[in-house]
Amino acid sequence: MIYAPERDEGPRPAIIDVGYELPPMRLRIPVRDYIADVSDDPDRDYYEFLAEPPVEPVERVYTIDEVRHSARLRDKVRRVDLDTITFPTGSAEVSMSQAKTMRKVAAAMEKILAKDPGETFFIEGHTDAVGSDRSNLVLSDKRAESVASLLTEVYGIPPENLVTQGYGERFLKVRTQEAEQQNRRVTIRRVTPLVRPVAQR
Amino acid sequence: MSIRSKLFATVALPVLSVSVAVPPAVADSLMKPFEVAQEGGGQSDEELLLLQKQRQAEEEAARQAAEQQRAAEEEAARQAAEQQKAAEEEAARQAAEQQKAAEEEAARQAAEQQKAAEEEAARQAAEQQKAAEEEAARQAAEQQKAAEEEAARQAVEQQKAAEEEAARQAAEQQKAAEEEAARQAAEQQKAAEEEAARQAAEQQKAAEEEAARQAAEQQKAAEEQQKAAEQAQPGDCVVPEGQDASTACPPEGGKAAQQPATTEEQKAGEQPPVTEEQKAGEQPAPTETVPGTEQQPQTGEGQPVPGTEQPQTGEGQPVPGTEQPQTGEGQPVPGTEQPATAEQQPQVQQPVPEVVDTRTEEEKVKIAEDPAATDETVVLPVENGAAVLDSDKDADNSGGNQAREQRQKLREELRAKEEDVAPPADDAAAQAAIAAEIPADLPQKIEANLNEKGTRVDEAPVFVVPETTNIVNNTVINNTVINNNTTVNNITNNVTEATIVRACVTMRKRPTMISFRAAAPAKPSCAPAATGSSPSTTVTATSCSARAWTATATST
Repeated sequence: MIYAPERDEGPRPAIIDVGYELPPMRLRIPVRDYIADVSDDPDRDYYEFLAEPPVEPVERVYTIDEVRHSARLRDKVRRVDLDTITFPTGSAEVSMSQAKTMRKVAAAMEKILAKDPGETFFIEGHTDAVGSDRSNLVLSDKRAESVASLLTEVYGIPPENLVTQGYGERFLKVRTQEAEQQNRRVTIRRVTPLVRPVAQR
Repeated sequence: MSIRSKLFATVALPVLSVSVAVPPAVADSLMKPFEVAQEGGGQSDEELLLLQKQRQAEEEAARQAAEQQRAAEEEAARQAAEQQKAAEEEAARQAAEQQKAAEEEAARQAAEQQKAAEEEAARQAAEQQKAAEEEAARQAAEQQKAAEEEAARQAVEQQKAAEEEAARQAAEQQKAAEEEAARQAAEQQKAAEEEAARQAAEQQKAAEEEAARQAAEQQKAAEEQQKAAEQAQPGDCVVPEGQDASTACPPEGGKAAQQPATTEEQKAGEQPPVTEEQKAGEQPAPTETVPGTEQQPQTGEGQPVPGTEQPQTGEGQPVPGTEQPQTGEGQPVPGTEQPATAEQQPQVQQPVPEVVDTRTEEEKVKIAEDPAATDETVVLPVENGAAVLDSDKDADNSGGNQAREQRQKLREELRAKEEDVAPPADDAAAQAAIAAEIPADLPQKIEANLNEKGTRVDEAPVFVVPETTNIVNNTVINNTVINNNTTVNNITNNVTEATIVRACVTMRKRPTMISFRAAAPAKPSCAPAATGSSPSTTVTATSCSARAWTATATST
């Protein structure tokens, strides 16, 4: 017999962006080393890319929710833009042919997890600016989830190592209010150094 | 005819038809005697006898009923007589008593009345005396009060008169100031009004006559008011700085007749929206007013002149159907809109300014190659590319270019503060800033959490019945006691039943325990009741239902 309180009861806690306390970030590495576009560079070694450390010192260990809510914190780690997965407008489905393009990224994640099973990957979903904010938020959540389930079901990445979050139209890649394929995307980051203490050498 | 046909016609057909027709006929004949017996009316002796007996019985019953009725009637009459007699006696007795009581009451009341009358007389005398004294005092007070009120009223009237005078002076000053403000506003809006007037010229022509007619009466009244005001308080005008009095104080109705030169001067400055056609065709009068004539001067307040074409002064008469700014000074034509002044028009909500990136593609590419060299926001080197960092995107969304500049300054400060630090080489280096004891402490904390063990429970906890019964149990026991009134051993029963009820209630609250208890052979769940020591039927029923429920819980 255990006591399990209802989690959904009561008001939701306020969202606090802890990144506002930090100074604006200075990117010190070339953009190409910061963002890996799968379509631009399909033969890249994604294991090396994902295993790269954060681009900025981490002040403390953050919770996964703090990372979820703070763009400033997520900026500390590099990202892989899965732009080979092209979502149609209003859709979160990934076709099997597009799922194949994730093979290299998935293999890199597998390799990282084989080395350290406690790694955490953060999968972000994004939409373009067409449609209402609310529907886009839901849609981006679904996109992140569909990619995560694909990674789990097709490539065998354990779901406990994946965290998904949709951001709607908040972080456009191309500044336009029109329908834009490049804005409908999913991004993967390795956030382990943000959320877990790493053994010091 | 063949032999077969003949045979058929002579033998087979008749036989067939007979065989078909006979059974109903036979059945009919079988039925007939009964029908006859029922319908015929010829009754047998037995039946007659039966009927006779029946009739005799009916007569007997009727006779008995009549006798009973008669007896009942007699009885009722007797009872009624008795009741009546008793009632009469009772009434007589009551009447006598009432009479006696009434007499006593009357005597008592008479005595009381007499006493009261005497007291009343004394009291009235006293009251009259007191009232006379009070009256005298009141009259004196009233006289004094009236004198005071009179004095106060006179004072108030004097004050009111003074106030009115002051208010009138203030109103006139304000009016003069407003006129001045209106005139300035009109001049500022001249350009806009010209446009509006040109568009509305056709509508205006029709509306002007109507407006002039309507405003004529208004002007007459207004002029009378103004004349009175002028006589009371002449030449009171606020002159703003940097303006001479002739322009600052627009001429008013009564005065203007003697000062036409000023009016004309003012008019020249104040007539904004008149089109060329209107000036040529419709309105020769206002600019050509001869000084000293009997014609009403154009006062510049927008009051139309009867019998003349309405001049477009731009201050007073809003053009019907057009969005002309309302200066708040003139008399608006009824039925037209009164738009607000330009100052009062609501400010359009300005969206967040769009980020304008003036950098060329080459510069963007260059920055993307080496972002460390610059403090500007790094953007994707594509057309309309957004910022690379999500935090920069957030800032762009909320603040636009201003936010970019602000962040650039902050980055410059940061760069000045800390010399260029290379990005961390690995995850551990990235977390080097975290105090060493925190990560060192953490595995122990995790270990402590992992080692935490609960207590294993081998059997279900035994729930002890409390010594003091609670309210729920009391109610139940009371119910049972009422049911058990016939039996003697109440006290024993109560204790037993309390146990039963408690056990059953506890079990119902914790259904997972049931299977445990049922599985344990030595502990029947509601054993005391089941043993039958209690004669209570209700308790037995309760325990039985509980047992039955236990059984089902076990099976499931």
